[in-house]
Amino acid sequence: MWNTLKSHVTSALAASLLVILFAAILAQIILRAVGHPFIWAEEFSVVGFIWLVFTGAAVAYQRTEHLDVDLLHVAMSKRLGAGRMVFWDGAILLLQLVFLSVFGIGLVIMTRQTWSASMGALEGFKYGWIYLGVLVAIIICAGIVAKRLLHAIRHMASGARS
Amino acid sequence: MTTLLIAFGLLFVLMCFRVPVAISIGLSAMLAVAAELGWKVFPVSAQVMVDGVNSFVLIAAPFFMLAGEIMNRGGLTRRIFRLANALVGRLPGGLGQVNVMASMLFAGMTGSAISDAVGLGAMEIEAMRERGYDRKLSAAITAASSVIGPMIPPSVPMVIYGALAGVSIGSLFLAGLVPGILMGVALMITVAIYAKLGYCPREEKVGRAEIFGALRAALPSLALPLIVVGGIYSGFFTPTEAAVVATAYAGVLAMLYREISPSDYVGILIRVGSATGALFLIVAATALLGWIVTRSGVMIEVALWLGANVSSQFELLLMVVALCLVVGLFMEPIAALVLLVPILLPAVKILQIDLVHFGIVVILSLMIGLLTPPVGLILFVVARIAEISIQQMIKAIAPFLLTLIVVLLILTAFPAVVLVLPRLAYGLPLW
Repeated sequence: MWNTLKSHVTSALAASLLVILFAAILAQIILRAVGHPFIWAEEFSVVGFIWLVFTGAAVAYQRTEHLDVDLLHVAMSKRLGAGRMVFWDGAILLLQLVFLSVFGIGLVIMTRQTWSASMGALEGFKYGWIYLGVLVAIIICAGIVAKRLLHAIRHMASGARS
Repeated sequence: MTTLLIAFGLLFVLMCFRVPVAISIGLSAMLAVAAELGWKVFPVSAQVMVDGVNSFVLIAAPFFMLAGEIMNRGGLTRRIFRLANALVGRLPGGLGQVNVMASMLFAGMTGSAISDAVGLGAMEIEAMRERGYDRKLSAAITAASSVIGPMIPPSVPMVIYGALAGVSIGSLFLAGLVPGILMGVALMITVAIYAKLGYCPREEKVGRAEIFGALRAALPSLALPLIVVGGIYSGFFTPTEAAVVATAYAGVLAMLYREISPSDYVGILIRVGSATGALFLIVAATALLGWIVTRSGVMIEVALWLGANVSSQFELLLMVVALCLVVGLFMEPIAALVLLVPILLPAVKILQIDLVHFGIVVILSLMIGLLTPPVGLILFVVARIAEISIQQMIKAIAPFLLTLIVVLLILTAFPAVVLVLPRLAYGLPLW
């Protein structure tokens, strides 16, 4: 279940959001040209983009495509060996989990605070839903990092036993 | 102020220890916010980071990336390389010149230096290796020429700068064209010097039939920047809409060339989704760092200090260039852009520096950072493609880096070079 969510649903969601944004903005251009502009297209696109950014961040986590500077890490792994570098990698994952947790808790608070606040042109759409969407993406990111951290801890434990 | 210094110290330590750039920036900012506001770090972090990407203009960036990716996978890269070869392959420096020219043409499709380095890099380095070029020289030319990508429209950093500074993206796109061409010409002169010194094999002359054939094959893809700039300039669409039209155009071309299957599109969408997430998580985290910097009043102090110590526009721009080159050594360019622009903007406005000129100077200064260690991403990407060490890469790129810095200084000293096209286009006096 988790693996399916991790490998397919998140990627499909990010790809779908891109397609939806593309369709909405293209429709806006065409409809404006024929004199029937969407008044809500801009707000709708911005909401979609915010969700795309954080869903995309989850996809980047899956694909380990978040930008990092590995100069020192590469140099040290040659000296210390893979066994000891597990501790280093574990610490990196732990820091990422701290960041995602602080952000996640903040998103819960903001979702509650803005749950009933309506958006301008998007009638019936609540601000809280934006934060909720981001929260779901951040939970997925945290899940991916936590799984890798558990794997690193198991590796450390097996290394210590042997 | 002490909190900010600690936060910046932590940021560089975390980055050096291989914590992802976005997380390093976010964690440092969270620490500074927590020191100032206590438990409010939770809602403030969430609100400011989400607000950091809450902009319609920014949506242009993923669609320019998508258009570039479709062009790249749809065989356009190969056509552009063929055209560049036909046009400049016979000049002294042969494939080195082709490498620079292809980057200039490709820049009109992607708007990102890394897309250029990855998309064209492998093909260029392989072609140069087969023709007997030195691997280090091939890698250096590929890396240096990829920095042209964000200068020739469309450009992802220009979209971000335009959104931050409230500057017309149409004007920025027009303004980037002459500097982009100037960079290309300067790099081609450097390659010609290498050829004179005997580092480049001589290429055969290409017939007229091949030039026309290559031009015919590449012409549809060369229309893309014209559609983007023309559409924005004529007021027919906004930059975000122009990016979507560019994507649609790239899709139609790829369909006509029949080089992409439907399953390829899924891969392209996922890759662009991932790249959008990775790039804009940095933007969101930097927005939080920028928020705490702004709250600390550093911007006012910087503006007051510059007001008291800097007397001319050129002096301030030189200081900005120096600052950006130093920051570019340690920071990812987009993060540096999001952080520095709001800090420097008040001082720039006081001295009445043209914001389009300032934007081009800042973007180029920061993009040069992509070629300098320890955070020079293109340096690492291209060294990996060329299978050479980072040390070899750094040594090989130094002359090209110098060339780019000379161009940067020319653009800084002569605003007219940058502003000629926007002023002509909008009917303003040139001087």
